[in-house]
Amino acid sequence: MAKKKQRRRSRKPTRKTSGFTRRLVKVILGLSVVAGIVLVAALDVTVRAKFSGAKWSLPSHVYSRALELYEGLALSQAQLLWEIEQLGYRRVATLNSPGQYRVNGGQVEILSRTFRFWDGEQPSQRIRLLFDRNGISRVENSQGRTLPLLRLEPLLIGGIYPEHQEDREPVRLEALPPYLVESLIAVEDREFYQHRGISLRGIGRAMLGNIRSGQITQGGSTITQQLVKNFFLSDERTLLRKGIEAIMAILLEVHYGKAEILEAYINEIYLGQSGKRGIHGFGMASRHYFRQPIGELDLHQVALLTAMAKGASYYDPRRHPQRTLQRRNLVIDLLESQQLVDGVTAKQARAQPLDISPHPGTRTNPFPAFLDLVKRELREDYNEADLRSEGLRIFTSFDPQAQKKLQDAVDRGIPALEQQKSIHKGDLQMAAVVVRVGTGQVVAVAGSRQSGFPGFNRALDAYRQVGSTIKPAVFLTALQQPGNYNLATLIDDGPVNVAAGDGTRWQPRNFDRRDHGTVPLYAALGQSYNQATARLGMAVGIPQVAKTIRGLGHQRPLPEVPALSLGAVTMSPFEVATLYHTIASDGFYSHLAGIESVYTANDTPLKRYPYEVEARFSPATIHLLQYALQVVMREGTGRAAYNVLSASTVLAGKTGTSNDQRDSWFAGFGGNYLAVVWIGRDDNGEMPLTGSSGALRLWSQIMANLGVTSLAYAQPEGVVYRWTDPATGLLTEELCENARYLPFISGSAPEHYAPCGQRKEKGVADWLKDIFRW
Amino acid sequence: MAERYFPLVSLVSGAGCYQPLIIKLERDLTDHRLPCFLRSLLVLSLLALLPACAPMPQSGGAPVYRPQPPLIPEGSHPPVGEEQRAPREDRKPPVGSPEVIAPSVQAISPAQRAVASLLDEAWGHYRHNELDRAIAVAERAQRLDARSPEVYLLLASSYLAQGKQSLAEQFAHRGMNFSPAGSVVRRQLQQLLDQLVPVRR
Repeated sequence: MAKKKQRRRSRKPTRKTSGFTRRLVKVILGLSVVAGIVLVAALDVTVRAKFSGAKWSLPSHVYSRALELYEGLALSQAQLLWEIEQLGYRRVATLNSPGQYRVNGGQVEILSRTFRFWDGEQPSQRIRLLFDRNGISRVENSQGRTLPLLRLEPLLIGGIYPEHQEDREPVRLEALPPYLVESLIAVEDREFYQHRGISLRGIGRAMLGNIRSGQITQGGSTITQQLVKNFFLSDERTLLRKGIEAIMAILLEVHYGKAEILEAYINEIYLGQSGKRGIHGFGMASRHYFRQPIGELDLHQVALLTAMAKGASYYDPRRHPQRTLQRRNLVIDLLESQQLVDGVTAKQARAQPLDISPHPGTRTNPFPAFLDLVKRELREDYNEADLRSEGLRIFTSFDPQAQKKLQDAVDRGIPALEQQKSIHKGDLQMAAVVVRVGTGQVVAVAGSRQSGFPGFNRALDAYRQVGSTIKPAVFLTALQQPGNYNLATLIDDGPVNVAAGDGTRWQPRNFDRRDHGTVPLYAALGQSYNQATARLGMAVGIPQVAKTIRGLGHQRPLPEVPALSLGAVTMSPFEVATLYHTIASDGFYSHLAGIESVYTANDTPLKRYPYEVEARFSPATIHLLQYALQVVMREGTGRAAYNVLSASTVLAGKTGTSNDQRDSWFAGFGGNYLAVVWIGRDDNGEMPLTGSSGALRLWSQIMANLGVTSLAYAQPEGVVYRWTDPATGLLTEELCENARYLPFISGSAPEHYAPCGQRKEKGVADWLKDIFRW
Repeated sequence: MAERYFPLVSLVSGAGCYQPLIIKLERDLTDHRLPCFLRSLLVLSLLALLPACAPMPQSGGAPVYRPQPPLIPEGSHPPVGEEQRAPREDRKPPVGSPEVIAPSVQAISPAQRAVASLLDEAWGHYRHNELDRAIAVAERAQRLDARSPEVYLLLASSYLAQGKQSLAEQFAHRGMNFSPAGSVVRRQLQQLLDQLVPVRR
């Protein structure tokens, strides 16, 4: 059989072979055509799938509060200028487009930008601001008419980025400034509107150029090919990749119009790096290099971005200013030679410096502690993937001015404390939360002594013993029983010795290691006496104290042991701020929040986080507690605050020091701000700091920087004031020695009078006061 | 997506039946004010009394925290442009020593004009039944002056019109907390609360 076959083959070898080859060629050709069709079809599917849907995973961007400008606002001219510089407003001699300002002595004129807020769009306006020593004294429009208020747009303060860390702000073609499209086409692809994806002329020209220069310097890729390469392919330079690129470019042009391709290119292109974050698209690049929205850019700025399109690392205006300036001018030359701009305009543009902002207009995460708070709130409503890809716009209560003041105080205060107390440099850590009183809005957060350090967020995550910071809850529990306790009630500050429940004895001691006999309730809190407070806590009942702490807003479990009264419980600074905000808000609890509203990528309002309140304690009882917290500041452990703050400022607050001085706390408030400060060591080691000598000092400086106003200490219904004798807790007369004007819940004031000690002389002023006493 | 805070709210439908009350409240707010010259007179006479509340030097004695008297008996904002601030304390008592410490008289919010303008705008939205916008604008006002009872009246009225009775009640209480006895706004808040109670029962 085998031989026969061989014979047959050898008989007609030529005819057989040629037939077989032909068939083989046909098969191969057929298969190639099929493979080609399959490949093109597959590429077609790829092109359409990616191009028709959401083209990018868009980062969510987070914005600060919008600064409201109005007559009477305590904002200096310097502070206003700082904010508008942050917003990328440009100082000019004559205002002619939004995003500009001019300073004229004590006046600032602004041509504001249009911005769409939750409650409607605010059009661009020309306003003039006048200042006096208290702040803004007048806001008027260009006709000189007084405006009640004007909102500036919020500041971009960070983002939640896709896994690949691409940051971009997509822009529509119609929002682009003049010359941008023209210059891109002039520089990158002159035949863009003529070719169908690939340009043979372009390739020819590039080849010629390469032959002349002896190396590969020109690519000859069209804008469509560049987009395909960036969008779908890797960076490798192989013929196969080039071929696929060409096919995809043609396919893209078959399915989509020139405008859509150009828009995608403008938003896709890589234009720089900021740490791990890639700056993509002209919209984000404009923010990053100029701090301006793209629509505001002038010719020289547009030419700079176009110049960078060639290679953003090589033409980096911050790292290689000279080289980049040259290429920018080359772009302007090209525009001029193609008669897209006239000679005069081109000359003016070439004369401009690079004109980039001194610092990058966008930073990846300049306020990590606040952003962390925002992200946690967002995760309750959105999944991580959506936050990283849906391009949400998140508006918050973050106040960049307050954050700056907070950080300034920290930058100076912590090293100063280390120096004063001979603590090894760098050992102290801190956290602080600043809340606007009565709004529940967190305006600034420090999670570390290093601003901008995105590590452990102590403001939210450092659960530390709160010490005496908890004591107001004990006194509030007592004051809620007006039949049993008032501010003048005498409590025993003698030694405490009780069973701790685990077989040991609990023997808390006063900080000064002394007993103070019987003391009135307000003084026990004011002086932070441990023995009196421990006794009071047990008298009112530890479960009741725990209930009060929960009522103030605490949500995690509490150890219901006697030591709870002295703060044997761990809390984060944020949790402590929640409790004190309820006290500052007259007993009304609000969830502390950093987010105001969330919009979709195309500016549709998605969700609002409304302000809500819940009455938890009677304002009358809280009024009494606020009295005692003022005693802390005037006479007690908080009095050092007045070394920094004006004595005319009414403040309420409380120190806290944990066992062995491992934690130094201060929580307190005035009329506008509440701040909680924690200082300690990350290894929970001991420090030579109490709440008073540590956190209080920093707190005072923060409050001074913030311009804290006086606590609005208005007398609520159901409260009466009586002259009281602190030694006996009985009534007395104003001119009797040590007489104290104390608030009582109506019906709970003592009825009997103590004998008057040495009587003071009554002056004319006192008589007048008697007549006009409220 | 569920609203986050709504566990606080008992959602009761039928906001329409409160409409007459709301309209009445509104009318009160806009019409039932004292004539301007009477208000000015009242304010001026109160100002004349203010020096009596200023701190007076005393020899010895314990610190005195004096509650702030309700300065403006009228519920709404006082006429803009009038001097409302109390005389400033000149002498600062040394810290820590037993000195007289009298609270400063509550200053009128510097944002009063801005707040009044926002409230006008918000009531406009309210009248057109754009309640979410009314609330958003009221919150803007609330951030400028968290102690304005009128802001809480607006919030309470808007939530009531949305059928969010519990929130309306909380905001009405918050507003009561800031409204002086006998003021118009207090009466309006009280009326709103009175309407709520029978419904809740």
